[in-house]
Formats: sequence, structure tokens, C-alpha cells
Amino acid sequence: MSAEAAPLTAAPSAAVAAILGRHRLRAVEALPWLCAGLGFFALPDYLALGSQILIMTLFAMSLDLVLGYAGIVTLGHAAFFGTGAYVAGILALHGWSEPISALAIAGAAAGLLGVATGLIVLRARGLALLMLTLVVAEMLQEAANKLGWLTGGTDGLQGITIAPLLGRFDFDLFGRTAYLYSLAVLLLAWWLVRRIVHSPFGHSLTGLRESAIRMRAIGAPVFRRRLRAYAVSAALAGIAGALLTQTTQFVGLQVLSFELSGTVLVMLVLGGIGRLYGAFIGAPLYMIAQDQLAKQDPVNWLFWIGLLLVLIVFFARGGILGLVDRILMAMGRRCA
Amino acid sequence: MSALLALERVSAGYGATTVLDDLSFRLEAGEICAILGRNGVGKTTLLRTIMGHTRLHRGTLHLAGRDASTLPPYRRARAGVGFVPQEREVFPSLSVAENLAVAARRGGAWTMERAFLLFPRLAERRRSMADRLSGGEQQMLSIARALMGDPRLLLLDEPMEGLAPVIVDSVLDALASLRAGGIAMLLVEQHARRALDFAPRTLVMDRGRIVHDGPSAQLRDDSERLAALLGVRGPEHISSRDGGAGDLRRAEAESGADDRDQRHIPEGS
Repeated sequence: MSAEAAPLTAAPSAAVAAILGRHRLRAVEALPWLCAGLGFFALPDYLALGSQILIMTLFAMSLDLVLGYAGIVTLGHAAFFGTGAYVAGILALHGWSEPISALAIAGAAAGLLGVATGLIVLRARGLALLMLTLVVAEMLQEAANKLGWLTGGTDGLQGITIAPLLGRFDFDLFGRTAYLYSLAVLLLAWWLVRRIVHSPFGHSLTGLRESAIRMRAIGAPVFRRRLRAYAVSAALAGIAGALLTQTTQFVGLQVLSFELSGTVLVMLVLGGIGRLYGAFIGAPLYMIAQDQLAKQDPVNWLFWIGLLLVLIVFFARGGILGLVDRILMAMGRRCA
Repeated sequence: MSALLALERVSAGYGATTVLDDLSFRLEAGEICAILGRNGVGKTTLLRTIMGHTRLHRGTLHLAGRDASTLPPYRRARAGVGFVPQEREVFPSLSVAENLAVAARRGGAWTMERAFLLFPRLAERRRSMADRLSGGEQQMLSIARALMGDPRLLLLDEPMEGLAPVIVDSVLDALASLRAGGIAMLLVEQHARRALDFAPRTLVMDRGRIVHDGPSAQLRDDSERLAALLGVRGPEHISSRDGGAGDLRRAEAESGADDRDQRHIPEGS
């Protein structure tokens, strides 16, 4: 085909295909779900930990949307996780024990909080933005601490009961329902985030991370897009928090803590930011390492986590997925 | 009839500093105009001011008869202004097709297919990440991306800079075909000869003002006048082999210490 004729005939479908190229599901993307499914059958004694891993994966994925894609650096994402957790807990204690609707309400509440705080904090950038997100989370935690009548203060919310899922499946002692429920929610959230990051809106988030000025010059209202990403991410974080409440039947102040904001950031950095699957590597790795190290070396386990992080940051920029990329490229070069 | 673009006594700059000083001019629909001048006289700032990236201290800016002085940049883009920055600034972690899709306007006259017809090279590289493109390809992508917004006015900041002559030719060919499509252009250029040949009208700037405005043919035939306007000492600098651009650059380097245009202004200023 001549160069002149090619675009005329082939371009329309080819242009669409080029966009869809990254959108199309690849076989390797089934891997996390296979692992999660296998885990359910192979490790029945670890389902409680498994649910927590799934929940933290969802939380880390929500952070990836703002941090990895939109480039909004935040140290206060626990504000939304905690809001979702408390909303679900308060609802359940006041008689709203149906889990799925409560999950939706908790997500909406966190999303609204994302809009309200985003309107203020997203006007700042860099260090100022970092501090503002931190302040929002700290203020919420202090509010939860003071509003004992609503939140239980330092004792947290106890005695939460959740109605059977879909009116059928009890949240059993072994955590089977909790695990599958968390897995289903994570799957839906992953599908949503995947659609978002591969949509023109998602690409525009990448664009405004790389050059906000250029995005404005091609007609994108930058602030509004950042706010929208922030709100969606907040809602997903809130859903993760609500899941934690519903599967553990407890809410404590630590769901709003700076420590949790930092932990989820570490998980994401371990896995690799801005690539959707970083959360699926980082959260399980961190949680399993924490679980094992806490058994082996209860005094110093945090040290080993720290060491792992230092090694990753020094030797594997881009996290574990970045490392995998480089290994694959090196192998490809050797084969070629 | 109102002009496509009308600047009325505009003073603008970055923060408190003023780069453009009481500057006025009009551009009609479909008009092609070159902007010449030494480094640091405010050519880039003029384009940035039209886009809305600078602070307008005084004066007004009208787009197609409507006051756009206070419009944010994205609204100006939607009103038909396209900007091709000197640094090209393609989005490195998006593919060629994604770079275009991000800028696409729904229902616009420009589609990805049309952009690929204009730059067949981009169609071949449509799956490539933008940071893997050559300089020329990035320039094509930057122009194509600006076109996806359906501009009536294209602001081009030194699009030929650093490109091989053969690429310069193909970029100029593409721009010439846009001229036939009725898109107005403001072309900031260091290659004085190329710019004079391409644009029927030429503005020359000095220290934030327009010091000459007229048909390009006048300056093309009058090397001495051109040299005087551009602040180059002798006409021999202009009439050299490569159209004078190299010598102009050298002359600029010698005169040195001009305030260079601020390329990177802080966010939100």
C-alpha cells in the first residue's frame, strides 16, 4: 500500500484500534483474579487476612488514580477511607444493616467529602497540597475523637451487625462471605478504574500531570478535571473503608490516621504508581510481609518493611512492576 | 466587520513584570502573519498572552469580536485558539493517538484521520509513545494536537527550531495546506527568510512593542531595513547562504544579555 493511500482507507479503524490497543484486556490481567480465586480455596485459614488484602488493594488503587494518574500528591487519603468506614459503622449501628446500600452511601459520603475538600486543597500544589491533605485527615481524626456520642471516640464503634449479603449469605466466622464480597467489590472497582484511565478523560489526567499548561491550551478545564478525579478516588477509598467496617464489624480511630495514609502510599510505591496494577502487587506484598514478619520478629517487623522500601526506592524506581518491566525488556533484548 | 483577533493597548507580563508594553494589532480571519524580532523582545510572551498564560496588566483582547481579556486559557482554546509551543510539549507517556484523542473536540471538523492525512508520518507512529518520537515527529504531533481543537487561529512558536531542513519543508508544506483551509496563523520565527516567504504580513517586535507592521515583500526586498529592524549591524549578515538565520543567532549571542522570554512560568501565577 502506498503511503498516501494507507491513511485514507486504513486510518479510521486503525486510529480506533490504536486507542483500543492499550484498552484491550490482556491475559496477564487475569492473574490477580486467578490468585485471589486460588487463595479462597487453597488458604481457607487466611481468609480474614485475604479480605484485608483485597480492601487495601482497593484503597491503594483509589490512591493510584489521583497520585499515579492525576499527579495529585496526597498524604491524607485516609480521610476518605475513614469517612467511609465511619459512615458504614454509624449506619449499621442505627439499624441500616443492609450491606450493599450502606456501601453505596458510604462511598457517596466520601465522594462528597472529596468534592468539598478538593475545592479547597486542589488549588494548592506540591508541598502546600501535601500539607493541606494531611491537615484535612488530621482534622477529621480529631473530630472523630471528640464526637464520642457519634463515633465512640477512642473506643471506636463496637457491636456492629451486618445483615446477610443479598439477604442470603451471612458474614460467617471463617470470613468466606467477607472475602468473596470484598473480591466482588474490588473487581467492580477495578473495572471502573480501568475504564476511566483508558478513556479520553483518563488520558487527560496523564496530560495534566505532565503539563497542566498544555492541557489548558488544548481546552481542558484543569481544575475541574482534577476535582473529578479526586472525587472518584475519594468515593472508592470510602467504599474500601466501608468494606473494612462491614467485614470486621469494628471501626476505630486508626482508619483516619496519618499512619494509614502513609501505609497505603508505601504499598502503592512498592507496587509501582501510575500503572493500575501497582496496588495489586504492593498491597498483598506489604500485608503478607507484615503478617509473616510480625510472627517471626514481632519487635522489629516494621524495620524489615522499612528496609524493603529503601531497597525498592534505591534499586527499583517504579516499584516492583517497574522492575519487572526492566527485566522483561532486558530479556527481550537478549532474545532478539 | 470585527477582526478575528484584536489587541488594544495591551500591557502584559509575568507577575508584576511587564514584557508587552502598550501593544496593539489586529488579525483578520485566515490571515497569516510572521512575528520577527531578537530574543527577549516578547514574541513568545505575545503568543502566551493571546492564549491567556500571562497576566494582562492593561488593555483588551478580543476574539472574533468578543472580549476575551479575562477568559481562562481553556475557554480561549474552545473559542478557537490553538497553541503550538516552542518546546512542543507532547505528553510523553501517551501514545501518538492518545495525544490526539485527548485534544479532540466532539463534533469538530478535525478528526484523527484528518490529522493523519496531513501528517502521514504520525499515522505510521500512532501507537508509539510520544517520547519515542524524533524531534520532527514531535513537532508534527504538537501541531496536529493543536488542530484537533478546531482552531481558527494557530499560534506557532518557532516550529522550525532544531529541525532538519527536509523536515522543515514538510512542516511548512503542511502549514501551507492549512492556509488554504482558512486558518489564521501567527508564526514566531528565527528563520527570517523562511518566515518572510511563508507569511504575507510581518510584524517586527522590539522591547515589547511592535516596531514594524507591513507586507513581508517589503522587508524581503530590503535587507538593510530588515537588518536594522532586527538589530543586526550590517546587511551582509542577512544575505548569507542560509537565509541569515545563523548570523542572526550569532548576532543575538553577541549582543547578549537580553532578557530571554520566560519559558517556564510557575503554575497558577
